[in-house]
Amino acid sequence: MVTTKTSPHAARRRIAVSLAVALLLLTGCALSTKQKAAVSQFSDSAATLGDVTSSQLKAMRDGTVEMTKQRLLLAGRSRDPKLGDQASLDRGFEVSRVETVTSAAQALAAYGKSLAALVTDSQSAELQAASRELVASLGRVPEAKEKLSDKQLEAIGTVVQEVGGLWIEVKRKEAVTTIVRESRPAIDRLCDLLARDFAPGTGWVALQLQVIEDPLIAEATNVLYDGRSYDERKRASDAIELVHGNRMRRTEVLKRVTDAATAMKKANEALAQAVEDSTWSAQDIQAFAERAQSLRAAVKIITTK
Amino acid sequence: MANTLGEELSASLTNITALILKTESKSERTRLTRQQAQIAGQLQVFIDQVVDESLAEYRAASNALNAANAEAQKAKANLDRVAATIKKFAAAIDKLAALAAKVAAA
Repeated sequence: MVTTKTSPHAARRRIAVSLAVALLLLTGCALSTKQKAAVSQFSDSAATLGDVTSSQLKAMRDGTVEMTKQRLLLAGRSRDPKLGDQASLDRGFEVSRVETVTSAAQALAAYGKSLAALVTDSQSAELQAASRELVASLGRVPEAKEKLSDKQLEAIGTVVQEVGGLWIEVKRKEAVTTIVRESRPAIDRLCDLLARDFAPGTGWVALQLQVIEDPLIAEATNVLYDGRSYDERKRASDAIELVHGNRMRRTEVLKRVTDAATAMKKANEALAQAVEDSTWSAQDIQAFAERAQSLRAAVKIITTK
Repeated sequence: MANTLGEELSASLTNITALILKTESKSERTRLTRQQAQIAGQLQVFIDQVVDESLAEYRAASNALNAANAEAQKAKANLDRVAATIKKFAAAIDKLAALAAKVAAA
């Protein structure tokens, strides 16, 4: 058996070459800048859609209570027992309903935020500090101090930092790819539900708002036409203004939620492909971002009115 | 089919509301307002049925997504652990160095 003696210099060179190859291989297993940007854009839009939808549902519930109160004030007891009355001011947007749909919207927002946290690099500074600590600790070991120069110790610190960083990147890609793939059916389903239920004219949210708004506008009209005093007409006018504000939600917000949910489903498919293939076009994710922005802008206008 | 009923009731409600806004006769408006309330009540019953089915679908999808979110948080915690592991390694080296120094002094 022949044994070959390797010089320390040659051994160090071999280790350096092996490390370089490992780093190159690991780099290919990480998310590219473009992929990270796609995930970030999708995440922000998902968080916007979820948060805005959730806050708008709460606003619809508040509006319902106020509109039912105004109708009772203007016309007395309900003309139909199936409509809301003094014992059910929130009829149509009861806590359990709002809570269930809000939780779903918040789950979408949480998904967006979780993905954003996964692709955000919060570890570079931590890794730098940790590798510095490691180098300092190695420097305190007498054996290492004797055999390694400061430059070599510094190089060890850099390698630890680089390998640690790439390890994180590889794990990051694995995590993002798995989570995007596995949550896709649930995301698609929620998008379908939101698009269906918030659809203007056909979805139950729009119909429910109409059931609350139309009887109030009728009673307010009756008081406005038949009222004999300024106070009576003022009360009618306030109720009409209330309906107007809530109707903006029905005409402007619902359509944008539906559009954003439809766009999100498409973007979700694009995202699943984007995290696996860096050459994938981010066009659908961009379209979703635009819808989410439009929803946020509309809600801002309505709430500042 | 179910959607058609909702849409039909909604269209009727829209039409009758528009009529109320245009009608000047008080008695005519009172009659229309009563009819409007009945249509709104029917639409409310329709919505209640639709929502009951819909909420179960929301719950199922939310549960599935919440499980994925929990996995994402776990994965993030694992990423955060890399630097902490290196720090632990540094601390272990410090302890070993201290021990070696003690042994050498003994």
